[in-house]
Amino acid sequence: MKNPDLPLEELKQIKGEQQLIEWMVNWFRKQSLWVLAYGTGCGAIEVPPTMTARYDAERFGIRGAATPRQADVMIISGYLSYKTLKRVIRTYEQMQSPKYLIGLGSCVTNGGMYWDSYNTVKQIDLYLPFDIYVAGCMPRPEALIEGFAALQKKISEGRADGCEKYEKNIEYYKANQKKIFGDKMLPSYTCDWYYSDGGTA
Amino acid sequence: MSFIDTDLQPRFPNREFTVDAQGIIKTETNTAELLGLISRFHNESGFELLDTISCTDWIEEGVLHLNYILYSYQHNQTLFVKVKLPRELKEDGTKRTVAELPSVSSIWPQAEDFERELWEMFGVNVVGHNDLREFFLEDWQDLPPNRRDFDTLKFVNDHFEFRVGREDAKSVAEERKRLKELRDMEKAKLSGETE
Repeated sequence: MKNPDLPLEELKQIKGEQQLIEWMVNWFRKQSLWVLAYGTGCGAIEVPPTMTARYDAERFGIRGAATPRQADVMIISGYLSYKTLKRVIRTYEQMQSPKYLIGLGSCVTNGGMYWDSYNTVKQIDLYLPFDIYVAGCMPRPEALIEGFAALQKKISEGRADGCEKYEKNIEYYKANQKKIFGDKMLPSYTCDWYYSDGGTA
Repeated sequence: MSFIDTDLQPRFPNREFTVDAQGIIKTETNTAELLGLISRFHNESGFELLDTISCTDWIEEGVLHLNYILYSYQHNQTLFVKVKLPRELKEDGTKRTVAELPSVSSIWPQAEDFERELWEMFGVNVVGHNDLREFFLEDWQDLPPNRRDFDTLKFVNDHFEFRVGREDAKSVAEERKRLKELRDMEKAKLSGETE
């Protein structure tokens, strides 16, 4: 990923070992995906059965995390209003890298049945980078687990680079966020590496 | 003897009560009498609970139709108190109605939330309310969104961007059928080779 520790940086000089280390790091990452306990829409109902006895996502190393600082994955589960989007962005920025975003359901993909609603997000990847979309209305827990499997595959191949994309294109994302939030932007301390004031406000 | 004949009509002799098929008692009043009437229902007739305040926008008749839904635990009766409020907005740009609606939060504190919602979503000008601010929305500048003259689609087109569809705009059903046929053909080819 983007900012590895110094020994890793040295090891990267040797090409063969670099691949081995990256493969190992990615293997560890994909084996323990901690999901932030957060639900936005109707899809929040599908997450508890995924985690509990019947579908038991913990056998894949997927389990809940109480705070954004401990979580690796955030599931945007269902329609997202602009009021909630502000909170979601704030939460996402507080998560530690590497972090992954999963969009659950058709409302997250393109607005779904709320395509002409005055308060839901139609195109969410203008504001946040997504790794996986799970289609359906609502997707069943099997579909969500398949989404996790696809995410694990992406991680092991080193292609799950949502947070890198966010860092690289931060101007684009912040400009889009500013377009809808106006002067009621998020506090800057969740994204202090971007703001020049060091995130005081 | 129904509840209306025994309890309501003796207390409110000039008031007209109707009962619908579900047994819901209905009566109509105006904003001037509303507070006095509702507090009498609450204090004298035993309607302890305000379920909700519903609102419907009848743009053709130019009214906002409000229903105060009261319930009595003692008598197991539901009462709708109907108020018709003219829906014209003030000229000064506050986007609230000219007609004023008295708050019933002195009787039921939970009415504050219902009235905040009416104020925010329909632009009802509530007076005598302690804490009138936005309930669901944030920094809303436009017309109150549940009014029928608020054009949702125009608002969406003005403010938000839609996801661009695929350029070829293929039908999903046809595409799936085509792919399935392709897979079946490959399968048949494979099994033919193995045999």
